[in-house]
Amino acid sequence: MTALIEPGLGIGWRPEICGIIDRLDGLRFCEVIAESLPARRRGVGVPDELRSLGVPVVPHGISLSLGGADGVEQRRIDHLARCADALGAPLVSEHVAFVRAGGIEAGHLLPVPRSAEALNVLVRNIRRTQECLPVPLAVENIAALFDWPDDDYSEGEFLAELVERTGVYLLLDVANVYANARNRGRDAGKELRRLPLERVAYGHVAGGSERDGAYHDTHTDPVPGEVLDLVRQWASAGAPAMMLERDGNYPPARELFAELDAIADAAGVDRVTGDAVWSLP
Amino acid sequence: MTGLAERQAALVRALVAAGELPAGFDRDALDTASKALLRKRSGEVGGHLPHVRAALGDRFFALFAAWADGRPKVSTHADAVAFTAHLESTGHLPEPSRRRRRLYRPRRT
Repeated sequence: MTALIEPGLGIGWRPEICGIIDRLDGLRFCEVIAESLPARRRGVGVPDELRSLGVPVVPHGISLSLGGADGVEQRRIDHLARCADALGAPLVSEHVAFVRAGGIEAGHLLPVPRSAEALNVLVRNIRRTQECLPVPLAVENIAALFDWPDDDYSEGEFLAELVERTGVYLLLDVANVYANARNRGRDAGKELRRLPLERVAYGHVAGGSERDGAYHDTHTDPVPGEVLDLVRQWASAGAPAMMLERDGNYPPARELFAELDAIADAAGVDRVTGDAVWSLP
Repeated sequence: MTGLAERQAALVRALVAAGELPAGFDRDALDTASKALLRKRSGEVGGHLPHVRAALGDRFFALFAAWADGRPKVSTHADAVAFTAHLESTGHLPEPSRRRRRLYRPRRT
């Protein structure tokens, strides 16, 4: 398949680090949280600092609740579609998860049971979303701190079935593969190889930390060496475009640049920092 | 409502609204997830209210956790408004000045 995003390094665009991101001359693409773009009478507002980067931007939804048995709300799908139009995005991404049920917001992405019933719900919601989007959809594997008692499929089988029935692309979060494997005492490399990697549009890399006896995918800590190792393993078999997700507790620019370089090196792609570090005050 | 809709609702209640533990789940794992959700919510509210977070320092999370108990999230903005009002009424934050109260008083029409 033609790549929706050319292999190379990207970053999750956040207003707090937009000045740092602006210095990355070699950046290949960005992702922006769709819910952070304000709705306007016509379409959505796109910050000048994001638009002026001149790289492909993927709107990344976090509140659609594709795994929710209550169904997805049309206004949320419409917002994603308007984001894709406003950004001229190559694709849109969301999650294999649910975030609300029975009228209560969970506040974060929760896993669905890997059962036939949940597959049907996801297939129905994904198809409906695809019909309303102007570009392809990719769905992301999440980090889950618990499992449902009735998981009938492995994660690889479950995702493969979703792809088969909907034609959806995957957004593979390597840090989530690591987090799930580590919290269940499994080998992350083996888990990675069992996923339908040929369908991945792009990848996420993020940091986390240990707390209450579990590894948490926080996006506010440095990327651990084990996650970089996993990126290296994936890249040896030919990895797609990849990006760093950082959502708070932002480090000094130099640390962020070093982290981006470490990911680029592990993924075997060009560094994007160039001379940026020398331009720092 | 399918079986899954009911089970998802029960799970969310257990995680964020002090609902009963649904059958078959690992209690410790759900407890960890529940704490993580609360920490995330607290972080989002703190990001919304940097001046409150700075004023409370280390007490921010404990005070937020106590307040949020039994109050599921509607939105971060609603959390921020209600939590600030709670802190003012319980004396953890100074009551707003007359000038500020006047600014924020709903207009009579």
